[in-house]
Amino acid sequence: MTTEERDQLLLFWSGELEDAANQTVCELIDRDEEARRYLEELGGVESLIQTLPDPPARGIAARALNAEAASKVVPFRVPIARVIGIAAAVALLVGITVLLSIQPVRESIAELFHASPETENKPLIVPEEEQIVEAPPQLKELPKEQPEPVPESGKSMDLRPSERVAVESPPIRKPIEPVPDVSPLEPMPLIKPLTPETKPEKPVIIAKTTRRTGFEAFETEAAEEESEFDQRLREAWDRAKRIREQLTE
Amino acid sequence: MGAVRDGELIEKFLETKDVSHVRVLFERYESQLLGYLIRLLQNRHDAEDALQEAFCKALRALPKYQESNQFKSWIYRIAHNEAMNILRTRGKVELQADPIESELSEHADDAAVELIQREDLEQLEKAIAELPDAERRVVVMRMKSGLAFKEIAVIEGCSINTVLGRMHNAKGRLSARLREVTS
Repeated sequence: MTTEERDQLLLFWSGELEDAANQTVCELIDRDEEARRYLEELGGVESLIQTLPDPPARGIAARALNAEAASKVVPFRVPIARVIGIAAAVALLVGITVLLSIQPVRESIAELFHASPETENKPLIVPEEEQIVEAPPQLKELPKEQPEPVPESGKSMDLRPSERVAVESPPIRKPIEPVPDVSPLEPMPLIKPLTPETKPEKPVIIAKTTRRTGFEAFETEAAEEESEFDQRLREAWDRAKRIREQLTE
Repeated sequence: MGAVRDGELIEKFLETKDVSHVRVLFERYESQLLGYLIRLLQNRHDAEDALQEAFCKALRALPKYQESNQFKSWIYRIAHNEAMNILRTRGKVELQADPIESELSEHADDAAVELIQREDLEQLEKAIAELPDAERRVVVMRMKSGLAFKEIAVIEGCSINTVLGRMHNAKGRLSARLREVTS
């Protein structure tokens, strides 16, 4: 039996031989004893091998699928958390920007920090310890001829003028002058009435807008309420007076 | 009702991305593949590692799978490549005394299994384990796993004539060994 015949026999046994070659192999099996024995041995070995048990796999497929799923999930967790964090931060920034860009809100915020003319004129009451008076101008800079102080270690001190001021002129504390007592019932006239002497050539713009600022509006309302209260009190006092006079009569 | 074809399971998985279809597919072949890999690697742990890695690779490659109705040879090819990688890193095959015998003694504890039959199987496993690697692979793939010679040639990356030659040699060795045992 040649090698070519043997290979054809193997393919025939395996069922992979082409139809055209089948007839040739069948003729070979009929005439060759060795070919027949060969096929029998192949069948015997195969049947024996097929009785061999396959070992239990113990869920390797499931393990592989779980491992693959886990390897896909883990890399996605971190970017999602990052994206959410970045998106939240961006949304917050955009929200603040939009809020600030709205005109009424901006005005109301500005009103909170806006100093009205009345408050500007009023002296600021600051505790004595907190009052720091600026150093006199002659102490602000060192004379140019004076050599710079050298530290003991030999290294030169490279101080800027602002730092020098801090070293040479410590802040001088000054006692506060007594604040003039201002009665809330009699507000000080902040705007002097225009007289021919004081009247300027050009009209003075007191306020750019007719809109009252927060503090100004509060004061005006308080003053209006006080005047109403006074009037009512006065009326009640007069009524009581009249009743007492009637009773004494 | 017949089992769902491999190709249908793959199509369902690709449509729905439901891994349960792949699980059915993999579980259909995992025992056969593990047996092949144990006989090839002579070590159960290496075989399990190779099979798990093969399944992972197959899952990743399934969206690109083109060979309809050739899944068996395709998964064998992947498993075979994994086993070859392990053999390459190992340098040489470390033959164990009775790799399959220990498997059988561990799992074939069924009282119905007759002692004689068990001894015969052990002898057969020994005979297969003593075959040269290339011949053993061909024998197991063809006679145990039922792959065609053409598929084995693709998996092995060699010509069909080489595969047929290996099969012929392996058959000769096995027949001689079995004759020795029976005599």
